[in-house]
Amino acid sequence: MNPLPLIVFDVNETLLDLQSMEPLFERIFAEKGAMRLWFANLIMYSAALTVAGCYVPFTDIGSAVMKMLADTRGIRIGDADKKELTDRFSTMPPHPDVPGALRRLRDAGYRLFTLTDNLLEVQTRQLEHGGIADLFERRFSADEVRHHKPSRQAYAHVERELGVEPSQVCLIACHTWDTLGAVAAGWEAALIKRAGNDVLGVGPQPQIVGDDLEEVADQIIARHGARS
Amino acid sequence: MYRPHQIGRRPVLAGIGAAAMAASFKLSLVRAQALDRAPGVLVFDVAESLLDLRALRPLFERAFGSGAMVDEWFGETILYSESATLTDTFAPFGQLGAGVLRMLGRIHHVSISEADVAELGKGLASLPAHPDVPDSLRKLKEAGYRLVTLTDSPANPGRGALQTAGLADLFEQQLSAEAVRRYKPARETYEMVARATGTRLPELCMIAAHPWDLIGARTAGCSAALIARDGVAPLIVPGIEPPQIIAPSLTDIAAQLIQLKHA
Repeated sequence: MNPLPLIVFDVNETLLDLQSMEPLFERIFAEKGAMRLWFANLIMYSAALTVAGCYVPFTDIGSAVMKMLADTRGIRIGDADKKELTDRFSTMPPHPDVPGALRRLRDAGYRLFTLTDNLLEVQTRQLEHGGIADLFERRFSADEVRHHKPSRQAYAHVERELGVEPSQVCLIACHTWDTLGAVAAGWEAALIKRAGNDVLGVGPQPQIVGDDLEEVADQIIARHGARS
Repeated sequence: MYRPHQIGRRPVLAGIGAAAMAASFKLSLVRAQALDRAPGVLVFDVAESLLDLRALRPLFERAFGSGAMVDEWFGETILYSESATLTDTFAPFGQLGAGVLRMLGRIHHVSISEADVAELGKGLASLPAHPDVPDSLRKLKEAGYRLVTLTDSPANPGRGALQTAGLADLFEQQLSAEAVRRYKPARETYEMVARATGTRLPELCMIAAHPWDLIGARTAGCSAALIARDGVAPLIVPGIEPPQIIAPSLTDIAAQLIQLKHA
């Protein structure tokens, strides 16, 4: 019997609910959709900076993007707003399907890890606040190799630290650009189609696609089995 | 056939004058360094920088019930071009643009037909120039500047949107990032322009309405000018060199560049 794959989770939006950021953006921008616009720009600029060969910590990109969007609207951002951004981002609650599905995977014998662009301290605060920190054996940050996802270096960092081959790892994420990076690296990948996310029919495709983590966990257990 | 770029902008926000925006930038850009001499070659981004992407709004209005969706489409296409570059899984820009259109259809439960995809390609090949563009380009050319374009989308000299807009003759070359199978803002794309024009990176000045393009250009050692039209502002992060010129229209940027020629 083949060993079970090691499961590596993305964190923002995959495990934690981004919607909890809404009130901050509604207060500052008084505009529906501002939070989504901010997050889309955050991801786009994180990838752009990595393509350009520049490393800027994810938290700093987040506040710079908020400032940029505010500048386009003639809105001023203060230090208190930036602090609230970091605080809210560090305390997003898990999606309701997450704690149960994580426990089910663990009970089925899977070893769980994370890999996020967030700084380790932000991630630790997020998972502890969400009450799911103890379900993960180890937490990884792209910051440790100064290359954000989906660059090859981010995924290689996990392989190196765990001493495993790419084919032994499975990424679970709700972002197609992330599953693309994992599959290109030789990992297996599962896409959770959280609201606003879906597959892109171009480039490397995830092997597993589901509407929530429960569905994805079912498919992983059906595909690889369970140890108990 | 697709054009690249941008996301820092989404005209969801009408109503802010360029002057007000320029004023708000000055506060944050006190350390921007001015250009001290005329660049050797001016390198223009095309989609959104020279040509107006808003011409695609009716298509998105019809398909998604929202013309502003064109900005989301464009931003996601850029994200996936960057992702292809980071993962060495090159796909032609047109394929990425069509794929993103279909992905947005799935996300918003809207069916996207082959005809919609074809219409997008056609629309991109016939985008109109922004009103400040034709005169500015002609003045720069008359002042003796060498002008080229650098796009993520395929270069179509002789039949692309620049030809349709009557601007193609002003450029000595139209270059595409596809030639190096890496998209902007990868260093290799700017290096290709230096090679193709027989110059060095510091001689190039990248001109675009997209801060992310200029981050790549500045990091590669080029100079840069940001066309900060409505909805565009620079991204200011520690350690990243800002563009030397930030102005609300190409008219203002051209005036500054022409002055450098006479200096």
